[in-house]
Amino acid sequence: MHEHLNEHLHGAIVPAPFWLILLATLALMLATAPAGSVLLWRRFAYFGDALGHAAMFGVALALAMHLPVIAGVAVVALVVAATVIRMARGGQLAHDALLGTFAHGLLALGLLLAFISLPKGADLHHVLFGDVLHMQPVEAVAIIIGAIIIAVLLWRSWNVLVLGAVSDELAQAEGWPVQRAQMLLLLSAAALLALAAKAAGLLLFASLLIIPAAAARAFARTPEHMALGAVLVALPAVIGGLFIARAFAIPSGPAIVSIAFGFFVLFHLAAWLRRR
Amino acid sequence: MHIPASGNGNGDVLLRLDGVGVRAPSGRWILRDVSFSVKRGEIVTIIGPNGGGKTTTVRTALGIITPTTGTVWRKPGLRIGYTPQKMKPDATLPLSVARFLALGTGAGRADIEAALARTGAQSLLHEQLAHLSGGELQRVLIARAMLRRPDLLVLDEPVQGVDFTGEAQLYDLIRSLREESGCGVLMVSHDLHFVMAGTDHVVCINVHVCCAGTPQAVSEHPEYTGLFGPAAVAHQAAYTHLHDHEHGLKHDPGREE
Repeated sequence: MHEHLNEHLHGAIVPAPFWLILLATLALMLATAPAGSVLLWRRFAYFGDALGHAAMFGVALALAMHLPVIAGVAVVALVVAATVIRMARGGQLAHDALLGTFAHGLLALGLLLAFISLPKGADLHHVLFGDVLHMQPVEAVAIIIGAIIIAVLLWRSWNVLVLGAVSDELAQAEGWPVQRAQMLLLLSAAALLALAAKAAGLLLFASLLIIPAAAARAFARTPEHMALGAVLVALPAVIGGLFIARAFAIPSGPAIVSIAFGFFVLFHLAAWLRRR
Repeated sequence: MHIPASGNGNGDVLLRLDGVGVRAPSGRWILRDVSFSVKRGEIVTIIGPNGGGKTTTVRTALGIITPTTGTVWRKPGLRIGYTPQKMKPDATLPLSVARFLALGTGAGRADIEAALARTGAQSLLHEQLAHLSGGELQRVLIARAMLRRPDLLVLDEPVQGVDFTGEAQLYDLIRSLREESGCGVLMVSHDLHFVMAGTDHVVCINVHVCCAGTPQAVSEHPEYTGLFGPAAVAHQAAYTHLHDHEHGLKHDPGREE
């Protein structure tokens, strides 16, 4: 049992080559940067965070049923995203209330399930904070393909996403497919969480969505600047984070996020100084 | 219910509401049995007390709200230019006026500058949308509605926050847009002077249609005098402070100027 569990948690004994891991993580950023930007504009910054918490239930379920972790995360994240969209349309509870409830409710259920089904002392650290350097080759390829598909879908709906962020009502009156674009955005975020679970972990996933975009906002004059700026911030964060993590044997997820956060502080400080 | 063919109306119907009712989740009716239509080249204005369902009527006409009863028909392929009543762009989104006007309209820079010049907002081209005042935003929204080359302009209190001289200019602009392009106009307005002088058809809504017809016919209707008071009939009274007026009231002494 223990052995099986470790295989699940750590992946195969032979991880993907470093360049492939780097490529997969960079591909992920091509999709998280625009998705994160739109989430910020729509005041949905906590969406990624909430999904990450709720996905703990998916992880525990997958481990208990001996299924791949990514499958459990994907199913739970997509179901939660779709449920929140539907329930928010009913109007009794707003998005933030629904997200908060699902996040903590499913986190609690996930922890209970893990406590009951996993052996004592099982280490869930990498599920929470990522274990990118132990990524399997097949996982890396899946991430690259998935992230590119999501990035292309988001770019194709870009004008509607931006106009909807200005005013859903205006966009809808003009006849744009607003609800479809919003559904695409939230389901993309859920799919990205499943893809990023290995690279960033459930708890750090949200930071990949929002920190690069928030950093890029400091100098962005157009929506496209902000999304591309977020890619440009994520790039050195990923490359730097992965090299540092490998060289000093420190956790990769926190290393990547810390560098991105450094850019955020630096950019907004510089923008503030320039305004003075 | 019928609409007299007036103004430039040539009978080409763009939008029709038939027995439209909208019920709030609480069960209260916000709108009941509302019917009217807008034709090409016609200016239809919705008036009525605050909370009477004017904006709900507009949002239902646009398909943003699904009616509980009745039907909304829009001419297939209808191009709509819309200025919503409340819009508060978030400063998290970096978006200039120029980019906002180009977004999904296919307008080039020259068209954008010309449209802004006509709404008196040429100086705002490079401003960020989130930094505009209420009146400035209205001018930009009207410019966007123009740039869509609409068959139907839908304007929900288009001059709110605009200063007095600006108001007159914008109303003139709306009239000349109708002349130039022959588009239909559906508007919510609080300006009784414009409603009486510049409108082909008036629909007075207080949950249901109190009265409808030409400005002349509506201003002589007892329900209209009941809602807005005799002062409104005599001249354009400011009636924006009227709330929850009771029906059938012929005269409200509290509201004389």
